[in-house]
Amino acid sequence: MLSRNAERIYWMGRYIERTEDTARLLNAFSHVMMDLPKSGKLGWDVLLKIMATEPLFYEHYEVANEANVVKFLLDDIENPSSIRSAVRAARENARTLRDRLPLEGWEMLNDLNLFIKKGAGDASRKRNRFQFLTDTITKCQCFNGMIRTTLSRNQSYEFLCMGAFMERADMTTRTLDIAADILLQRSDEDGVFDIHIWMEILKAQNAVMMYRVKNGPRSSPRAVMRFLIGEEDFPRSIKHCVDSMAGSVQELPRNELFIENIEGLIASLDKFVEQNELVPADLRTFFDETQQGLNELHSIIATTWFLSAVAPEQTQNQTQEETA
Amino acid sequence: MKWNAYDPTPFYDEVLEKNAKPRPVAKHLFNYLKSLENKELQARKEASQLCIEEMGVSFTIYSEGNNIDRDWPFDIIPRPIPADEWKGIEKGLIQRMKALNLFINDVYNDQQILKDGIVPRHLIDGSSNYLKACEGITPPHGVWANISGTDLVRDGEGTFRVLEDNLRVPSGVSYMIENRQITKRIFPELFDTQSILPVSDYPVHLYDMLASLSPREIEFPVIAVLTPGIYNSAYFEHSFLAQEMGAELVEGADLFVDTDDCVYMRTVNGKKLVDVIYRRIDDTFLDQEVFNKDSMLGVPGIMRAWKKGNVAIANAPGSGVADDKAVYAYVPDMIKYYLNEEAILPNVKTFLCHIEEDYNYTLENIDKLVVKPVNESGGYGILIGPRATKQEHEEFRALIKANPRNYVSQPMLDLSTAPVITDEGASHRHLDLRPFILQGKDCWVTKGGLTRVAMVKGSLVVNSSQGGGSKDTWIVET
Repeated sequence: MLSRNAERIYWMGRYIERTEDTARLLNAFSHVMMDLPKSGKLGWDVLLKIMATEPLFYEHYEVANEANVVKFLLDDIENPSSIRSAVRAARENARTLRDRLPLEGWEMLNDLNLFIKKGAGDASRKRNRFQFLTDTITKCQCFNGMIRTTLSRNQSYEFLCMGAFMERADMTTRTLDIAADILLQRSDEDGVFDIHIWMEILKAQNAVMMYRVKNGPRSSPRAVMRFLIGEEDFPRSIKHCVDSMAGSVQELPRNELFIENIEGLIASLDKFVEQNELVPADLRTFFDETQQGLNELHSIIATTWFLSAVAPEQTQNQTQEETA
Repeated sequence: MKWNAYDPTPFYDEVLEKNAKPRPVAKHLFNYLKSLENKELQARKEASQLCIEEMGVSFTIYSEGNNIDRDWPFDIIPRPIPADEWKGIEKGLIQRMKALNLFINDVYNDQQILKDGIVPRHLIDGSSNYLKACEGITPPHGVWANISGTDLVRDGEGTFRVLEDNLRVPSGVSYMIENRQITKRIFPELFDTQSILPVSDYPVHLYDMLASLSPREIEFPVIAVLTPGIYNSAYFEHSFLAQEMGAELVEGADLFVDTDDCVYMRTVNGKKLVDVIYRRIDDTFLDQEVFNKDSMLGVPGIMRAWKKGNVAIANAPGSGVADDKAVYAYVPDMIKYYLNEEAILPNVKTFLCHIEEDYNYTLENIDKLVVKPVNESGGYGILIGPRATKQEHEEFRALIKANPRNYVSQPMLDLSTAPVITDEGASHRHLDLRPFILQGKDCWVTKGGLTRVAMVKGSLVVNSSQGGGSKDTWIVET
């Protein structure tokens, strides 16, 4: 396939995943804020930290309160990571890929785009928000299900999967990084209800039931992290995402460098799972390294297969590497 | 919503101190509801209905031989309780639970309290809840009733009193959790300005308590919830709790006792040892070898396995001996006897028909009293004297005369009230509160509990099997 198309479909995968993950995160965070009594509450800026968009936010807003943060992450077109922008970008990518996607794909993305455009404004009101986010997640899942059951297992498929798994691994890493940073440092008094936060982190990944089947209902920070990082059977864990990328890349040519790199990352994830204790300082290093590892994998993908490696000036607007 | 239109109540109201003036704990709630138009309020009420249907919260009632799965009845206005007041109640509930468990263990072993004449022996000997098969046993931590759903009511003065100890298979806790989920969806704005203690951690505490009973000391003991099956009225709750705990939801046929007197589950990988069973079936259906031979729900040999300590059962078989309305009257004495403390939570005045004086009083004043059979639950077989006909009075007099030990009576209670949204606007209804207490290695109480409301105006019957509704219950930090 054309390098240009490989790049577009990879980014389409990432943007759809980003839409879903952001919706999940926002939903879970809004819930946990209702559950926590005043003493245990978190600031809304936590979401900005997770999305790594603090500087951009403060260019446009003064305070990180609920109204501003929700608007910024949901509906703000100035924010390339907002749900509104992500869906638009996914659709833009799909527009140039129509000949490569199943017919229904294009229509589904149009529908999603329209849905977000119409509803995102109203969803800043809490009462509408949950339904809106749930519907957004459902629409993303519909798209993914359609792809899974109807897209031929060709290179398009592999790039789409790589995009989705890259984004998911990236988002989960950042979420856990920030959560661990805040929660493991809190005094016991502030943290009496942290168990609810860890539960909500699982919920954000739709992982509650799968986690319970494996671990019972107790949600210690260590068990939750271990599950979301290293549980290879769970499709949203970092380990599973990375394994899947390693699988996808088998089908692609010139994959040696990628394979060499991803093996290092897999080894580091395995090592984490074997650890018996959570030391905050080690954790920070671990998350930094994982983040770095993912970024490197992304660059390898870009330089090995994408057009930007051949003619970078033509595609600069495409590769929004704000995560790199 | 116009609070002026809320009919003033002669009872203790949970939200209003007096006409159009909220209690301190309800100030935010009061003002928030005031700011909503009636139309908006009705819209939220409809949204709550939809939400219940979407979440699939249901309960089953038996009607003319049919099982009807009904949507859970819910009123949208929460019932607030101050956190400071709750601390005292929590202490009282823990104290009561400890004494009750000491009592059950005593009754099945030394019977010291009977020998000392504190509790009359005939109450135990004559009780259908006393199981001879349990004599001489001491379950883990000496605790028999691991889960209790104690019914509390506020009287006319606003004092919380214990109405009933439910020590057999109390239900309702899943609805407590779901009610909060619904309120968060219907009134999300309310949670910003107030500090409301979360309730969703119950399953974790339940799991920890059950795990603390495991005969094997392993990190993940195998826990199973034993349900009578989908026709049970609380099946929703059984599956809810199993799901929330990551435990296996089993029916009798999924379990068997092997020649080593251990309980196993039948799985695709062969038999799997079970450590702890949270049973939601009644004592007498548990084991066909010991009790009801025709039971389709039980596991033959399970009592053998339990007696040998190879499996833990919660609540332990026989716990119901402390859960009848005559033994109830002696709980304050038990607290004194076992713990050498005064009861923190008072009982409701109870006349025991096996005592001559109380018997005569009950027969003479039956039109003023509530008469209850000692072994029933779910609000069945009760006479509410002031609301009954002369003929019904006569019928109950005859019943009491025939078997005085089977009856107790209590004065009519001025149950507290709270506003509910009806088609005509806000109106007051009577309610009670069922907190849940867990005792294994440690003792723990839910933050609040399940508030049940009599949805019929003036009615005192809150049981969901008889048309009762429910409310989200808030423990509010102020």
